[in-house]
Amino acid sequence: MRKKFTGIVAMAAVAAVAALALAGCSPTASTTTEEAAPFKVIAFTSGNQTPVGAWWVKAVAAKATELGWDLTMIQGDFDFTKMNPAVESAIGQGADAILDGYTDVASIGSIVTAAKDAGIPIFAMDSATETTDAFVAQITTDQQGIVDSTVAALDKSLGGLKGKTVMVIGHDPHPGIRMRAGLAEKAFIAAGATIAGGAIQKVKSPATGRTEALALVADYLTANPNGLDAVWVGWDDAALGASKAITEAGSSAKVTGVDATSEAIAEIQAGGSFLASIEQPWPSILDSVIGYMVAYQKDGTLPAKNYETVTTVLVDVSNAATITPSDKL
Amino acid sequence: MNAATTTVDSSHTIALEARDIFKHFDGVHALSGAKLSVRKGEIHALLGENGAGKSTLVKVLTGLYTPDSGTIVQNGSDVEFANVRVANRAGIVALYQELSIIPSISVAENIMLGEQTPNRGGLVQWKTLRRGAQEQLDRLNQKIPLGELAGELSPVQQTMVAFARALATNAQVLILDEPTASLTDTEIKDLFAVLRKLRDQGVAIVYVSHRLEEVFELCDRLTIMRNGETIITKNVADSNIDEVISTMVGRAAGELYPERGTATSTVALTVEKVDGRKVKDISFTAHKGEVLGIGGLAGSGRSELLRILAGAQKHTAGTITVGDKTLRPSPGVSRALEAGIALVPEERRSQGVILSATIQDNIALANIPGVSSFGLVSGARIVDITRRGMLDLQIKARGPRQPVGELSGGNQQKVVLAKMLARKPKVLLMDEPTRGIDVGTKAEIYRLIRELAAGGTTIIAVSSELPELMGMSDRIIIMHEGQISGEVQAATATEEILLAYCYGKADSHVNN
Amino acid sequence: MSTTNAPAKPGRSLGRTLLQGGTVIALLALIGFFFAMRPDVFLSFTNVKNILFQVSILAIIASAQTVVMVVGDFDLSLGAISSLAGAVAAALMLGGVPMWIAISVAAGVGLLIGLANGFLIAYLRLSAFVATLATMTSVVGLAYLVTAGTTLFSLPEGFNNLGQGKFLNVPLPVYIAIVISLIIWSILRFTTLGRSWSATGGNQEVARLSGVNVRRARLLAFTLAGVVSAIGGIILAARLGSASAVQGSDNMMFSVAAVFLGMTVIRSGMANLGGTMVGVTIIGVMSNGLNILGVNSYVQQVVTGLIIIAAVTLSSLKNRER
Repeated sequence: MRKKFTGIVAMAAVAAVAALALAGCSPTASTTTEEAAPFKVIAFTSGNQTPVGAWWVKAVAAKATELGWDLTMIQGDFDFTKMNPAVESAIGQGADAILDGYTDVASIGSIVTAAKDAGIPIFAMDSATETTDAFVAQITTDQQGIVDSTVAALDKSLGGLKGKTVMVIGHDPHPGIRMRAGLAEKAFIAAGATIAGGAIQKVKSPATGRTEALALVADYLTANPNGLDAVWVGWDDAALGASKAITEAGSSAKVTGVDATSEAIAEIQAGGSFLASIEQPWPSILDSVIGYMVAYQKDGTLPAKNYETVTTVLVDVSNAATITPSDKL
Repeated sequence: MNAATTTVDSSHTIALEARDIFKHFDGVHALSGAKLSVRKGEIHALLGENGAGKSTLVKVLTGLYTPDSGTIVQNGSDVEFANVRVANRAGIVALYQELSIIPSISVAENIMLGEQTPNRGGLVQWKTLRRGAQEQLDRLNQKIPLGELAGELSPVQQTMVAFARALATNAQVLILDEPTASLTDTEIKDLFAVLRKLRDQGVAIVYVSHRLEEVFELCDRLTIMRNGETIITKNVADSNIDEVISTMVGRAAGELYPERGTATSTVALTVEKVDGRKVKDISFTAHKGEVLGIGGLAGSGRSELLRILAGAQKHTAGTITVGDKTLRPSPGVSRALEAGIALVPEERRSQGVILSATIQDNIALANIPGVSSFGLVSGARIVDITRRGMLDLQIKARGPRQPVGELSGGNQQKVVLAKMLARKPKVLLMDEPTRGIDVGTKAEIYRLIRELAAGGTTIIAVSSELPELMGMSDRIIIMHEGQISGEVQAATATEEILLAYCYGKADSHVNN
Repeated sequence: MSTTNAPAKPGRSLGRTLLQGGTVIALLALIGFFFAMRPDVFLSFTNVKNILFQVSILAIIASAQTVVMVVGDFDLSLGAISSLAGAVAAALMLGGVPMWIAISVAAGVGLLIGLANGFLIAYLRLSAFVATLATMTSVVGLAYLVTAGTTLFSLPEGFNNLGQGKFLNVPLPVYIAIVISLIIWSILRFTTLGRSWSATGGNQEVARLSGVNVRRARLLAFTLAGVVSAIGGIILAARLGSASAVQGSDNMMFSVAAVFLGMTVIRSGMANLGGTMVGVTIIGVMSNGLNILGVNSYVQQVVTGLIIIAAVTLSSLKNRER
């Protein structure tokens, strides 16, 4: 990843120009023969400051231009007090459909109500871990599947999990991570492993996830030298912290993460303690959701099921080179 | 360096002189031709009533204020002080009652603070610093440990450290403002010893104080101010306390005040053996329709008494009864208002009105129950009360919606009055009702006070100006150091009697 | 005729000694407690090294905060400055700029932001709270721009060594933190600049009237704090081998907490470097000890907050009793 310092100014300029362009550019005439007003879509995400969120914002805008949609994109910066009213105002001005990216349904109650009252359907991706009537369609990754593949990878690497000590690191505020951490804990216990510390270790803030995980593992290893066989972490950034602690302590424990960021992939390829991660196929998920929206646009059809999960791909040293990192989408 | 080895000068060299100083604020004249001439090696008292202009003159001498006109002469040449630091560098230092040391650093550092700190290339020379600090302490004959944190010293020691710092800056003129206010008798004796020593070393000391006995014990000469002017300068040896008091007095009464005589015999307010923080054992009664004036020097407890009566401060003993209601020790202002006591405070700009709010909003402030029904404020009633208030009090403004901050001082004061009057109080307390107000509006306010009294309201007014007290009151109470020192019917009062009470002296040796 | 003065205040009561020594006693008590719980681990060389390593960055930033608090202000933007500096250094190095130049530029960024803070507060008279809150917000935004919202990694080996290398088996950041604290302690203690900071913090008016250039003193305090925090952020990036826009964010609150804890250690109740280091150690010991005991991280957060409340209360009681 090459970034020059002068690139900041360039980036800022590009960002400004792009914003202006997006704002100012009107949807090109679509190839449909309809004379009706363009399909109006409100899209929002609270996670635009994460790499995946940033990619999603760009990808949705591109799709909207391609399809000739009138798109209003609202970025939340994890600030629901700011985002929710903005989305609700947009709803008040009328729309044909709403698209939710990576924003937990629990945090957008008021948006859901406003949309229901206005009769506008919400299509979503990675916004809930179970079926909910807030969304007419929601596609997310299969948390159980994620757990199965990562646990299996550790099982294989350690030559069996029975009697091994595994630390599970999670972050409760994120529903996906919370769910898979819980499933992972169950899986390890069922396989006969001991959970380090007796419970899932919680990271308090995504911003400091890496340093927190680092401290957790480092302190644990100091108190229990060679006492860890593996660390299962709910997402890559924290997993990288755990991995560093393990390397520094000279332990041979293995670490798995989720997300397949470029840094994680580099670590996997380096062959150290970082064993594997999970690639979540966001581009194809987005395509599917957009597909549902196009169908709805055409003749109002809604998908039969409003909750779908998609399988993920385990990324380890054998296929790491072929995976597109999630921060490079 | 800063060694004070000047020989005592017996030829009366003038260290600092102020000539014909004029200074005004917002149209009010604080100094009108004030003069002061201080010699090297003397302790010179600066005397005068409240408002005579003493502190303004001191602030001019130390560079805090720039005079409108007049000259300051130091060691024979004209000088101008742009700010305090310039004055300090010229050797003129004032020491006030407020904290003048830095509590969190050592005594030595306090003494050699700022420009006096010896340093080489940014590194402090501690040995030299300690030596210099010790030198100043020796000059004052004080044994204070150099390493002690200044905040842990007793008040008199802190004052000594502040002195030492002033000396370290080679101060030639030391101005002291009420230096003995919080000192015990022994400490005062010690302080005087130090001051005399400094005088003998050639330092000029200006001693501003209300404590006349101290002045006569310590000082060499005195200057008396009145109304912003300097009246006289004399040798202390050629004067006495009574003469000083008489000289401090002597203003033309003027025809500002309406006729008296509205007091009835019905008791409206009874105060019995009330104690506060400073005030002790206060007992008096006030009648319906009476204007009761309260006088006394600054710090005698007048404002505290009013605050206690208004419920803004609690009283620790005694009872206050209004009509048939007795106030509890901590009634709070709203209960006092309900009982019928309202206060027009001293600092109208910070305590009386909200400058950025409109006239009508200000007036509605104290009277929300009166302008609301069922919890909703009635706009119509606010406008009504405001119009009536503006008319009755002749408030000159563009309209009820004008922000109070834009009005003249006199009109602002009337807004405060209107606000309180809207509650129709039984007892109206006023703290310095005409401070900072032009003469014309003063007359209006005196008239209003008398009208209110005629309508049955009891007015209790604190004032620092004796003529005002005598002119507007039916009866006057004087306070001295927290207690009532005298009570006089206004009709038979003279300024001499009142002033004597202010200084705590019985009137036996003041001639009528 | 010499005057003897009565002693300052009637002797040191037991209460006052406790108040003063209280924080150090608390630290010793904490150490004693954790040692009793895990005697085999807690005071081992590895674990002590571990604690020092973990708090080295906080120690650097807390030194910066100490300087600002000595002057009587505080700085909410120090955590953000450290993150930005780390991000700038990383971005430059990834762009091919030689390591020491990248580090210098990053430190320079910290200096400029500190200068901006100082100017806003000392010359334009903004409140420290408002000004540093605003700077913090903008600086975090800048950090996001520099990192393009992601985490920069693959930093040069030589750079990472600054944060992960060891000398005599002790990690380099520990030495760096010690050196920086010593330098700041010396400035505070021995230079006229440091003494003018103490004077300004003790009573700004008196200092000003005595010829201390209060405005310049405050400006320099914030500027130094900016540079030192930047260094902290650079070391953190080296330690982790990566730089993100928010990786130092905890340090701001903890640095203030450490300084407050430290204020209770000396007689005058003012901010001081030695006390701050005691505070940093308390925070580090608590976090490590609770981790070793396997205490839930949420409970840890509650406990940390309580300790800070206790410290601040102790500190204000001390200042009130004078």
